Amino acid sequence: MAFAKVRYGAILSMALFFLVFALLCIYGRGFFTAENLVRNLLMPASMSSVIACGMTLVMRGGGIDLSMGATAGLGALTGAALGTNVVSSIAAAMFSGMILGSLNGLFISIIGINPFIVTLTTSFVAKGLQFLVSLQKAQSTALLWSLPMDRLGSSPVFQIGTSLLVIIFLYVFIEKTKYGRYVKAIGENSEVAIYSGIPVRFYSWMTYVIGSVLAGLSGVMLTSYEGLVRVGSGDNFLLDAFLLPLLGKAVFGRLSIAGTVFAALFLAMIVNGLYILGLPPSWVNAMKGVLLFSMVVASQVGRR
Amino acid sequence: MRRLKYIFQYSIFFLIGFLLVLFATLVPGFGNIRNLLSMLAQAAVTGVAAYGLAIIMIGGEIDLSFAGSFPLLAYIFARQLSAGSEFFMAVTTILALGIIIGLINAVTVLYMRVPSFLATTVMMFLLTGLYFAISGGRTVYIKGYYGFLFGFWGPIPKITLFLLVLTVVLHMLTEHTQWGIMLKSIGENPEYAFRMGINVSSIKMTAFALGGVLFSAAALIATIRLSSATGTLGSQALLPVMASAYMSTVVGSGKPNIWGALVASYLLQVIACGFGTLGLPFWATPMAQGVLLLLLVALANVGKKRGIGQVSLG
Repeated sequence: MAFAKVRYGAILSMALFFLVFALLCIYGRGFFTAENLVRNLLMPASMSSVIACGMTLVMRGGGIDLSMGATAGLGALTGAALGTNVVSSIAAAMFSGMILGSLNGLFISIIGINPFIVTLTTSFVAKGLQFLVSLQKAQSTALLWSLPMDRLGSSPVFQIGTSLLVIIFLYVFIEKTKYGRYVKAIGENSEVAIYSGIPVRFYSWMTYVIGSVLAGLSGVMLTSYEGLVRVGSGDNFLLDAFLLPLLGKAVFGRLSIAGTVFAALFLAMIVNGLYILGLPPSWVNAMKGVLLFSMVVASQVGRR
Repeated sequence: MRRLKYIFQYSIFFLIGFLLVLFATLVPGFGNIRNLLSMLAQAAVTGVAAYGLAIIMIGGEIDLSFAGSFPLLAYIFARQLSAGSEFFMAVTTILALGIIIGLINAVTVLYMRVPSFLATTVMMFLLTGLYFAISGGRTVYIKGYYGFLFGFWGPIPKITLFLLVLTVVLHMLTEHTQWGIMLKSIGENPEYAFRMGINVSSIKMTAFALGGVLFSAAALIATIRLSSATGTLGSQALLPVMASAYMSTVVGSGKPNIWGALVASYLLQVIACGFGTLGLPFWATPMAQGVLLLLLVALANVGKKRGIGQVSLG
């Protein structure tokens, strides 16, 4: 059984993490400075860990959400278009995420269509809505954030604080409450979950709602940092949302919030390190892809 | 209820008929035969790629890597042509690259036992990243080949003929050859197919390779149609191709099939063309296609008892 095995993978990757960290401290000029560690390592890690933790919850419930990138973009655009102040911006973003998530959940959990095809479709619907929102508001495909939101977005306290809140909330939710156990049971075996009297459809639906709300939030975090929301701003996030939970799974042996957060830190460190060592930015996604590919393959080695 | 199910199964034909009549009344000239044929020509990219996906889906797997291989292969093709390479040489290279990508997918899925949707989605990300890394997102233009594929033979566009011939050949291959029957039985139940003495891995391997060839052929057609290789080729093709392959299950037997894919890709092209001529914004097309897809898949499930939709991450 998987439980009995010593997690060599986890120990090894922890060791690797500190090894890479140490090497970067020695060879990367300006790596080990508070400015770099907070702004270029912790902040990107916290932005991507919010969306990735949402994906972890969805995956834990046996689903998958390919629309998260588009949802993040839509959330950010709605927030920028409708929000008059900081609170209403974030609320609008999360609300639009909620609507998309409940649509996904409706088709997947209630009607029972394959999540792959549903979320792929909603990603295109969300992309269309992005154009709609943006063109309605400004006759262009990019919106500026309001000044207070822009200022908030570039503050590390907001970014890291929000993501810490989300991480703690989801950790407690998944690991410590009975609702989290329901979700896990559904992910392990939905048939058994039904016969155990768990309202399977509702809890499966809920994972999509929470996941999409978090996607909307992470869209705000990303774009308010940049100060500008474009149509398609969130698209790159899909790769992170996909990669980090699986990376965490490869390391920790199962999908978990801890694994996802660790993966987010690891990836942010590697990306930051490679930038410092002089990798051209266009190669970063290719490198992430190679990493993802090898992680997915590695996590299957030794399985039947 | 059973009779009702029958109606739902063929709802796609009602939908095509309804849309054709609708657009023909709204847009003058929409309904003439030349436009109907040329829509079939424009459906070639989606159609050919959807055939590849349908064949892989018949074998019970899925391959989304085409969304990544489209821009990459198109870029390599256009670069080869603009570097003065022979046309058929370039085409052969691209088709060979398509086979290689298909085989890599097959090895990952069959021998490393990664679930196919996961393996190929990852491959999609990988190839997209690779495309941006080597091209920097630049568009490469080619010229002088449009007429070669999209020219007319009498009243019929050449590409339409090509598409129809390909449809018949692939239909024969999947329905009336030993290979096709084996592939189908693998898709139905790989365990039984294995017990029957079918070499599951090698059949699936050829299915992935064939899919790879068809994907690269679709990438070539797309490049020639646009006379350029752009980075958005893949993301634009992702939904229509997936949708066509999935909707093919709605047509007829309830399993993916070649004719169904042709009908479905024609439906999507009718929507795109109709919306375009009505002057609806460009982003409304994928939305409408997506909503219709969900609707059709939901309709096809009417009367079937189902649990929640889940995928296995392995």
